[in-house]
Amino acid sequence: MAARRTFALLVAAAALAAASAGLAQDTADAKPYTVECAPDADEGGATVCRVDRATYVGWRTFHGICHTCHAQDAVGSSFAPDLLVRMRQIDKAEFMKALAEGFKGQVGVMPPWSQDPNVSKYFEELWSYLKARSDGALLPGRPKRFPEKP
Amino acid sequence: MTTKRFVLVLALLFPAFAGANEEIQQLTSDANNWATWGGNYAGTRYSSLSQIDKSNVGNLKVAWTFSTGVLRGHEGGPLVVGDTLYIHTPFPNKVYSINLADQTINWAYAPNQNVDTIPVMCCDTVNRGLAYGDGKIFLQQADTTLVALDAKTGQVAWTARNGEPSKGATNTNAPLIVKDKVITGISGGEYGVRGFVVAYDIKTGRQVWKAYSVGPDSDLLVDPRRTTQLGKPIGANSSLSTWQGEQWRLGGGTTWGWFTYDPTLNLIYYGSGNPGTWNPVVRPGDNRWSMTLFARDADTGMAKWVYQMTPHDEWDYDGVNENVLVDLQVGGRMHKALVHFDRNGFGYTLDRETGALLVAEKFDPAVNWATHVDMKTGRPQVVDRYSTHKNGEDTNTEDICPAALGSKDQQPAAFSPRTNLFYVPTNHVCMDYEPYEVEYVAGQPYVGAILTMFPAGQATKDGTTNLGNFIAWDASQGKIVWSNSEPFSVWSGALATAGDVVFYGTLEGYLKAVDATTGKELYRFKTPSGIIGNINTWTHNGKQYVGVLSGIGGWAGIGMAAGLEGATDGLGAVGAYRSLARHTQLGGVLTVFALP
Repeated sequence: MAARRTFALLVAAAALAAASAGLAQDTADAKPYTVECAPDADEGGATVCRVDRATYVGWRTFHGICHTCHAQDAVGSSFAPDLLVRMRQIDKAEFMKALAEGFKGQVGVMPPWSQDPNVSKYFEELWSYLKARSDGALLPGRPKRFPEKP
Repeated sequence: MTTKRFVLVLALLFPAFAGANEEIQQLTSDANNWATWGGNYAGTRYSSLSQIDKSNVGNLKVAWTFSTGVLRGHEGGPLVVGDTLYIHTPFPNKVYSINLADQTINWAYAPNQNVDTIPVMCCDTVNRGLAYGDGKIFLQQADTTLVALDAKTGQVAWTARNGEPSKGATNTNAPLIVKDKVITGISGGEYGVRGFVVAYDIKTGRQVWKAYSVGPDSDLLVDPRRTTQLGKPIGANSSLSTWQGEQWRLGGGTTWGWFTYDPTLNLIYYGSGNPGTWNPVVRPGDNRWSMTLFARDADTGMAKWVYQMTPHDEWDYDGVNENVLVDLQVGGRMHKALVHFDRNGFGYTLDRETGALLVAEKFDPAVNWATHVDMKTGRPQVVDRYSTHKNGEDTNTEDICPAALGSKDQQPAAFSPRTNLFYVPTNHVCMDYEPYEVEYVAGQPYVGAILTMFPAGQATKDGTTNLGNFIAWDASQGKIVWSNSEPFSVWSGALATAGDVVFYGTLEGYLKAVDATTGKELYRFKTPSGIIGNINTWTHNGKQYVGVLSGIGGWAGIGMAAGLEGATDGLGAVGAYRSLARHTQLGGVLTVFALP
């Protein structure tokens, strides 16, 4: 797990480096994800997003557990909020606190996830995935992983 | 009054059977009531009332409405006994007794349940309704407390604790009253809960018998020599021998669906849910008796027969849907039949006395995970390409039809003896499924599979985008007679009447009435919220009423987003997002209809 976090950090660092190196955008916050969406010949020309490992693991964790309330692609259900919206309203500390300690919403109740190893190992990855979704960088659907670097 | 006197007379004549049985049979044989979830013990959801018929249903008007004061998904429907209507809500599971004369509230019951129950309910905080018997109303609360309320006053007569919510056990089902017993089940299939059916004494709430779905023979209430599957004795250790090691302890087979009863055979019928984790790779074997239909003796709980529809489930095709008991001609012979529309997409007709398999055919042509059911062995012939076990952990098996929520979920079908047809609310949704390794922690989700759901047309490539159909089914032949396409899953319980009208509700919130013979739409009305409740009918002062709960939610409330914003839509297709949220919002309301 430590390896995964380190990897995620590396990706973030790489993104930061890339941003500061070439692009004329503000460099205050590194994006916690790397996403490239493009038409994919293997999928009949449909647009498919490729993501870094952390974002992929976040997608997977989300769609193994969180989607039962927050729905596929984090768009929300009749009893859990649309995270594409909610993620723009909270910072990382609030996000981590809600995940660890649970959250009582206006309609639903989210349990604390710190006791569930199937989730607690992947808080950072969930952050990556959900930021990628709420920033509009990652399209709905199953992403593909970038090829592993040698 | 006459009803009560009749029951009293029966009780005096047959003191040995002085249970609620005769009372319920009497109440349900009088179409002025709707005294049990299915309208009758057989679960046909058919009413002999005919004031509202296909010539006048177009004139239907709203007679009165009632807000439940609760949000989230409203499944189930109202009970009507005499001059009183009883209605329930999702968590916190309020119950209202309503005087039909003036729609005032006779009494209200509001349990004080721990909110920690909410997050361990997998697919919204639904409740499928109440049971009536012995002058009491029975409510199976989310926190597993079974409560008996005095039907006149709402006072608590007794309570029984049915499970442990801190370990993921909850309740959503409607109980069934049989003789002097209250029959109920348990939910928690996504939390490794081991399912059971249990009978409580109607007077005291004392447990009379309890029968697990999986585990040692002593827990199952089976007789290895006399309990049969397709006519053959199941033998010793029939469940244990199909699990690895101690996995049966987290073996699932929960029992959150509907119960029906045949008073002549004295058998209750129900199905069990998914086995343990959704990752099939880690639980080799048939995982008996998950995904199984059971016929059990109502007095002792002893299983007469079983039939496992989906051995070694690899798709979450819970077998809990209703079992409708009707007499049908199959293959030139009359049978006391049982008809069951399974999540796995097959419509089964069995002989309910012997458990013999008579018909097993797909009730949605999109179903592709199995080619057919072998009528000799009863086993579905699984297509390798759609086997999530064969494809293995961490492999995404694509385009499986149906999706986990099934070609049909809990929403109960109706049967009309006038047309001999079943009217079935269905889902038309497919999925990708990727099993992965998951760790069990008590009280935490125990799933281990990633699912993506989308309209079946995406898998069948037939250009359709609908997520549901409302169909008429010939259970003797195993054939669809007509099919109405619906944009969303049809998640409401159907009603058929002697007026040759069939009613159902839609997720957008429409109550629809269609011609029982042709399926032609005769009436629609948009209720305040999406309908996942069941449509029931009764009379008051000689006038026929039709009532339904609206209140979007349930698994449909999640599924409603399924596939509507697919990756293939691409960046430019934001406008293609057809969320159900554009049609309806939360809120529980009972809407009651009548002719002007």
